[in-house]
Amino acid sequence: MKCGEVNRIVQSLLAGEGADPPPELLEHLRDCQSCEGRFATLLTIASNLKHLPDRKLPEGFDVRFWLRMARRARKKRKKAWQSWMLSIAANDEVRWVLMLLLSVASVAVALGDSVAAPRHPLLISASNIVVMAVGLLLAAVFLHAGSYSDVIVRIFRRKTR
Amino acid sequence: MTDEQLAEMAATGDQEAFASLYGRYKQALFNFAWRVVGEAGLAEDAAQESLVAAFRHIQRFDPAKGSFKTWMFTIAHNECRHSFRFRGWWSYSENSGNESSGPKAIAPYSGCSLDEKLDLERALKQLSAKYRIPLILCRLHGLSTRECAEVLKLSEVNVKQRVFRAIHRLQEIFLTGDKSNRE
Repeated sequence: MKCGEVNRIVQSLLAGEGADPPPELLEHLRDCQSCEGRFATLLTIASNLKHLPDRKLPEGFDVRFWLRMARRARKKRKKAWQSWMLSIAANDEVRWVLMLLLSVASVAVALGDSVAAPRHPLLISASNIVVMAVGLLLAAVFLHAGSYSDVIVRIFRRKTR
Repeated sequence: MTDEQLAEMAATGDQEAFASLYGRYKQALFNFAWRVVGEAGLAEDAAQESLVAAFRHIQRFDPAKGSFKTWMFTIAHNECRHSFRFRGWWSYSENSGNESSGPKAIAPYSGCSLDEKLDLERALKQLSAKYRIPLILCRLHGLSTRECAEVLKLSEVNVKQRVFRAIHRLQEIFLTGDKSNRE
């Protein structure tokens, strides 16, 4: 074996190609002082790296890992609920129905209370006006939910990361 | 059963298959993370987060694109980078060698005693992350040059050069005890 060939083999061995040094190479290194000086320590280091011992896993590693997994699973369930809500918000028909129901319910609550009360039917108390306003506002939000559903999704994702 | 088969089963929700993969990789990922970040607490976090991320995204694993081992080490490498982001990537590689009193020279072709292994660990810590990580992946975890290139998003030639230079630097450290050999 020539010194040039040794150089090529050593380079590929150091880069992790091939297993242990071939016997011809070791023989050459024993005979050739120049190559021995250049490559012996390199090969020894490369070979010894493979035999470094494992680090001992910290106490409770497994327990902490499975707890972490359980926490992730809980978050995932939360995410499933959020995606269900978002799928409803993305559906036009469902949004229209919800808007109508909310509008009718809020007006009915506000007016119904006034009709039942022993006073002029057009006198609506302030609290009933608030109920009606909130109901109509929610209805409007539902109606336009599709246009900003992307924003909602992004906010949810950021919070659940 | 191969890792790829177990990953396929885990992707369908098989918890036992995932538990088997966890058993196979927990030690390797902890070793890798410890040698990259240099601290047991951070290494544990990185190893566990890698396993959790692997389980969450196991459906994304595509055997046609590479081995499961490559995929796992890619995730672990990203987690280690994430740990470094909070501490500063270079802070570890700049400070890690200070605790060492300089490794002793090792006799060529000798069997590797415990003292020599400890010295090798210390010498490894003195390398910068740029050289240390390809060396750890190729020489300690048995990844091929191509697999290592995939994990680190480098060319194969680049990986070979870095591994070669890393071993050269280790030799310099052993021969001269040069602790200032950092980049």
